[in-house]
Amino acid sequence: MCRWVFRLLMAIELSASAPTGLSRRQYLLAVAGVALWPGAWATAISASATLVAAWEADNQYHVGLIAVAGDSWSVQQSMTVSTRPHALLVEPGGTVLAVARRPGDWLLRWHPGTGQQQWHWIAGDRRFNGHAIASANGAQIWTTETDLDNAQGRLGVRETRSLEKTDEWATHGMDPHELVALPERLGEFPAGTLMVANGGIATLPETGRSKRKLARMDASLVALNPASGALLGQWRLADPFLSIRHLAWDVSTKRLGIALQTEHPAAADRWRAPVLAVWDGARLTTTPEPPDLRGYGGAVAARPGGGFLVGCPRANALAVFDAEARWSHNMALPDACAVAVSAGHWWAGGSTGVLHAAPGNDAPVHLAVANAAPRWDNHWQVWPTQPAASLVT
Amino acid sequence: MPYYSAEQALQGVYRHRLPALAKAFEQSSAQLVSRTEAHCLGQAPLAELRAQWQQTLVSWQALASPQLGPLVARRSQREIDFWPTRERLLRQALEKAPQTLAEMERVGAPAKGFPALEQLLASASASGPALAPATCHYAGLVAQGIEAEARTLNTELAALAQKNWSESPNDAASAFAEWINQWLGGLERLRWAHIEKPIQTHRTTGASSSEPVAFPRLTREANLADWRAQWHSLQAMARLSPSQYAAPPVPGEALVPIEALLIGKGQLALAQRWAQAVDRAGADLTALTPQSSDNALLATTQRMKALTVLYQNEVAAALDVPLGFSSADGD
Repeated sequence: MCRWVFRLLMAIELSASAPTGLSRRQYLLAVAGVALWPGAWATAISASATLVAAWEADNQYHVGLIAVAGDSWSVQQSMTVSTRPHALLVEPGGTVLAVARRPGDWLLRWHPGTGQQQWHWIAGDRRFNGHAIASANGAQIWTTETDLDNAQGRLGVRETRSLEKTDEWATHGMDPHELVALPERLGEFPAGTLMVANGGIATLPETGRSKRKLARMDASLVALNPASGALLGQWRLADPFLSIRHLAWDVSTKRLGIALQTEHPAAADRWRAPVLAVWDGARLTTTPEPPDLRGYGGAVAARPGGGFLVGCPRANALAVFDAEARWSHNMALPDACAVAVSAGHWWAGGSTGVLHAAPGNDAPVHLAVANAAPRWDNHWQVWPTQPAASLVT
Repeated sequence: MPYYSAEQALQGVYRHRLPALAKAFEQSSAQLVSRTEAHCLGQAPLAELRAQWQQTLVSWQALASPQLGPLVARRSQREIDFWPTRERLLRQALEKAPQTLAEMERVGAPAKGFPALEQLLASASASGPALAPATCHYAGLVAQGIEAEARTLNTELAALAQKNWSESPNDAASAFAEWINQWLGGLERLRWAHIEKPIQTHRTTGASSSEPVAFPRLTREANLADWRAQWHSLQAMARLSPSQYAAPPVPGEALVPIEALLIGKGQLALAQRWAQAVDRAGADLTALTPQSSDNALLATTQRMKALTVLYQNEVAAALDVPLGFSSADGD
């Protein structure tokens, strides 16, 4: 979970008075350690969007819709769930499919408009790993899962309406996490090819919270045939302590961005471990001479125009990379993690609020100052009832 | 309260806590084998066998809450406490009629262990005063399997009791992190897997209100005894006893609960909040009866969840241990 601790800023806001030369909001952001980008305030962007998010507050886990407008945000609708939710899939027809975080037991289909819920509980010897996607024709849902007998990764093939499993394929590794379907051909891999991130960490019920056998981690990226599950390709990084976890397709450069999380035992190795790799259809490339981002990429999204944005909560930064995984610069954002992209806009969440950038303007504006204290989970989606095209910029 | 090192904490766990529990579990499982044999010979009533099953289950949960060291490495829970039992596999296993413990190795975990044995005992309760001979033989093999695992665990934990953790700093760091992580894993197993998940599953899958919630054990009495055994073991590792405030655990000579570790590190306020949160959860669990409603059970799990959050967000960090697969761990 990406940590947002809003109470600090709230306390500052209640007690602070802005010195001459800074607006009250600028001052609040400055004392909170948030960088102010030149020109950002002069642009006077007023953007609004509704985001689908998951969070923890008051000892409860929630899934809900968050409205971001002007310089504030608010919870529009939400429901509580029993254990930690992770990925959120926006479905046609106005529903959200939430997936329990590993080792997870449930899928939840929630209709914010009506409040209707559809729960699906996984069979006894499998656990969900937090991510799901829908097939292009909408007939199937694919879920990453773990076989509790041997800790091996499985890809559940499920009927969309009932969420019942109709088939199951090997992911050829442990701890499969996020998956994407290639939207177009890349090299020898046709459109629709399933790309699955095998995190490589053994997860079994009796190990509870312990990560065991990290010295024998075996993370990999695999390509699977979407009709049969047949293995089409598999790639590993040279550093065995890098867990391959999150994926984003960059339509501009035809590259797959891969957010990494290190499990290196030594702190110095962890801190300077790369947080991004890029797959070009043939090989994996990690960031050359990676900066200190604490070795933890919590979420990745394709940057409008090409490249990738990686939320790095432990480095309190949104890191910007080009399409070759080369680091460009950081944007300071305490506890930065979730990133959502739509129609050339992007939003990033952190504990002091939300960064937003409009199409063609890569200098983000800090939009929303927090008014509550949840701990957001890693991923956001843009809710389509208020499409980005309707944003006022 | 003195400062306790990780090595001293591990000595407390592995020398002054787990060996006695492992020995008790082995003794109880041996009695389970003998009671099953006696029942099969018509020399012990079914009720006596069932009582021994429950006593052995409680001794297992005392040892396995949380699962540490050889219990994790051997996957003991999966071997002797796989739940839910697969009735189809159990039927198939009975039809194959294994004759020896070696032949039982070809039977899958879902048809063995405590839950399978409970199913067999329940089927006998429904059909007559005693287990049928073939079923009784199979039950005897299941009991022997539990005893074999108990014996191995006792042997391995007895060896670990002699380990000088100071001589192996890497082992000590790893084992201490495992203990802190697994304590939370044990709490979540109790809260979520054993209590809340069965209720939530029942409520969200269209089950009729007359249909019982599928808790791990077949009766509310057995479930409550199981939950209390888990909790008491977790509590012993979490909380100082009243007398220990005046006479703190001697480093290396006694179990050092998490509360003592916090106090020893100067985290007095956190230790107090921790103790209060543990006590609140314990009070709720103590107040439960076999007749308690599902809502009362859910209220208890809420107390436990608050304990989980405190542990994840503050206690583990104060002990300098990163938690795996937690909210602080990302994903």
